[in-house]
Amino acid sequence: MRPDATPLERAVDLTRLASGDKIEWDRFVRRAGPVIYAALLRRLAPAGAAADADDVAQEVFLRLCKPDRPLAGYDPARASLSTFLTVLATSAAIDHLRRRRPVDPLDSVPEERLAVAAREPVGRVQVPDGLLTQRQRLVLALIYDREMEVAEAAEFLGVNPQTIRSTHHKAMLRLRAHFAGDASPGPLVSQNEV
Amino acid sequence: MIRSDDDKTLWQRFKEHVPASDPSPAPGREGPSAQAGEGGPVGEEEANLLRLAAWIDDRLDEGEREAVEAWLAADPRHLDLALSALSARGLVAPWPRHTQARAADLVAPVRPSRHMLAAAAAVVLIVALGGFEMGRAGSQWLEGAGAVEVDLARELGLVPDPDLVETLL
Repeated sequence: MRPDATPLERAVDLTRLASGDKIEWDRFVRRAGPVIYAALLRRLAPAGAAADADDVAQEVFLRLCKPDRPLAGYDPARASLSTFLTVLATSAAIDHLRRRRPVDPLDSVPEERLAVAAREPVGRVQVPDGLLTQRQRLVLALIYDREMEVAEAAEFLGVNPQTIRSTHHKAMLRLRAHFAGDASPGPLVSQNEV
Repeated sequence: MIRSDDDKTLWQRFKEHVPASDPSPAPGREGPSAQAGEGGPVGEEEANLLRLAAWIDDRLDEGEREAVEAWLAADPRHLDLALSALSARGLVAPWPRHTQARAADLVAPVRPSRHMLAAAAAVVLIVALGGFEMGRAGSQWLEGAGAVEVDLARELGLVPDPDLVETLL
C-alpha cells in the first residue's frame, strides 16, 4: 500500500473484494458510499436532480461489483481509490443528466428554430491542424469558455500562473496572425510546445 | 486579467472551424479516446476514467499528462467531467441508510469467498457427524431397553424360553 494511502484505501481490502468476499463488499459499501454520494449530489443537486442520487448510486455500485471486472478496473498503482470513485460517480451523474434531458419532438419545434443561420463558408478560412497545441486549446477553453481566472486555470492544470499567461499569449498571437489573413501563422508547433 | 472581447471572438472563430473531436492517442501511448458514458467498449471507458483520476491525483508522467490534456481539450464534455470531479474530490456526504441497504443488497449476490465456502462446508460436516452420533446413541439405547423388557417378560413367563422353542420345533 502506498504511504499516501487515503483512509478509504486503508480500510478496504482490494484482494478480498476481488475474490467476492461478501463481508468485505458490505464494508466497502459503508466506506465508499459517502464518497460516491457526495460526487453524485455535487453534480445532480444544481440540476434539480438530487432525488435521483439514490438510483444513480445503485448504477455505480452495479458497475463496481461486476464479477468479471471488480471495481470497474481500478488499479491502486494508478490513482487513489477515492479519486477514482469520485470520477466514476461524476461520470455516472453526467450520463444520467444527459439521459433525462427532455428532447423536443421535431413537430413541436418552431420553424424559425430549425432555420440554419447563414455562416461564413468554411472553405474561406482554413484552420490547419496544429495551429494551436492541445495545451493552448485547453487554456483558452478554461479562460474563455469556463471564464476561469489565470490562477484558477493554473491550479487546474498544476502549473504556475505565468505558464498560463505565456500559453495564452502565444495562442492568441497565432490566432490573430491566422485570422488576420495577412500574416503567416508560422511553422506549426509540436504538441509539446505551450 | 488577460481576457479581451477581441481575443474571445478569435477563440470562437477558431472553434467554429475546428469542431470538437476526440484526438488520436499520442503516438506509442494508450491515450484517452472514448467519451465517458458514450460509445467505446466499457473497458476503454473505464480506463479513461482511471487515467483521468490519475491525472487529478498528479500521478502521470509528462507524456501521459499531455495525452489527458489533449483529451480534455478535444471535447467540452471531457473538460466538464474533469472540472466536476475535481470540485467533488475529497468530499463525503451522509449516506442514507436505505440507499446503503439497497447497495448492500445489490453487491450481495457476489460469489461467496473461499472462507465462506469453507465455513459452510464445516457447518454441514458438523451437523452430519452430530446427527450420525445421535442416531447411533439412540439405537444403542433402544437395544438396551429392549433387552431389559425381554428379560422381564421371560421372568413373568410371557415369552417362551429359547431352549423350549428349539425343543418344540
